[in-house]
Amino acid sequence: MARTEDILAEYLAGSVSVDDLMTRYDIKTGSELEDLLLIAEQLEQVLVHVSPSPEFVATLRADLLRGDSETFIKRLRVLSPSLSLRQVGSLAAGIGGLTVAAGLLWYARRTGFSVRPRRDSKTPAWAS
Amino acid sequence: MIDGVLVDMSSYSNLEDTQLIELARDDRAAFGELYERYIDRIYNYIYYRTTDHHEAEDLTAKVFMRAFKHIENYDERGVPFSAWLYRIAHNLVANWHRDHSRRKVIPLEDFIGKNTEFDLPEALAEDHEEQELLLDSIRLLPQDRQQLLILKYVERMSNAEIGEVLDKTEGAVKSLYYRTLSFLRQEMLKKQGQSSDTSDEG
Repeated sequence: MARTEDILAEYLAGSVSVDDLMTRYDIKTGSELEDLLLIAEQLEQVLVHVSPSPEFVATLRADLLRGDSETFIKRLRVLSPSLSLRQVGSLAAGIGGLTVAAGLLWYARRTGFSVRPRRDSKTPAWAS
Repeated sequence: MIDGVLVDMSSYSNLEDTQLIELARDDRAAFGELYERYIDRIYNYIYYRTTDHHEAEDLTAKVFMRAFKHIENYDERGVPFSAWLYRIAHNLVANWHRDHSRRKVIPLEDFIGKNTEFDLPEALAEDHEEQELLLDSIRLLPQDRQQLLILKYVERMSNAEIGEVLDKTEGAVKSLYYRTLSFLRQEMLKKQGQSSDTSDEG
């Protein structure tokens, strides 16, 4: 177990290749250790360095150094689509609720429905 | 001013982090130098934890805003400035995941597509299917193990540096790394078995 951990650490620490390690430690083809080394090698190809946009880096730096929290917060709101989406979602839910309520009110008025009993009839208009 | 000596702004790049931190308490330009040193690394770390450029920018901005606000309270006490920043980033990402409650699944095309902008080796394109399996498996890892892989592969940190960020010994990092790779191996074997079963049926 310790040897496996050490060999994996050695692979990651230096520029030694999987093939070199296979030869040096006489690692069998198809063994667990070979699989682990190949996965370690593949991870190097998948997890590559990415760079933030230069514009983002420069703007954030300027805002931070200016200490302009007002601009900073506004920018964060622009930068954060999830925040905007949450706000849009809440707004849409609010508008939806109001629309349904207005619709029901309109329907009730149109059909003459009232919570107060009618004096001239026992049956509400919408039921006839 | 460090130990009563005035420091020329142009020489900030020659200063150690600890000296810059001392200056940054009164001098924003010194914080600017720290920002330049770490913006790329923090962005990368957050990008791979969220796999979304917009979210990464948003959270990166928050990390530096928080660091700037609390730099006066920063006390080294054996934790390097970089580790302190990573911990802030880790907490913000953890909150972000909690807010999003469900694990965000990014289509592989998006993930690979973004990476190919950075001139990946041809082998990546050729080995698409296996990388798909690998990425799927990485997404199944617990947060701390994903963090380990990012610090190791993207940030190119040594086990000792990773230990400072994760608050673990070097030996524990080595062991965690082994367990992480073993998990990925198991998952990939499982997925490869499933995909060969499916192709046999077809």
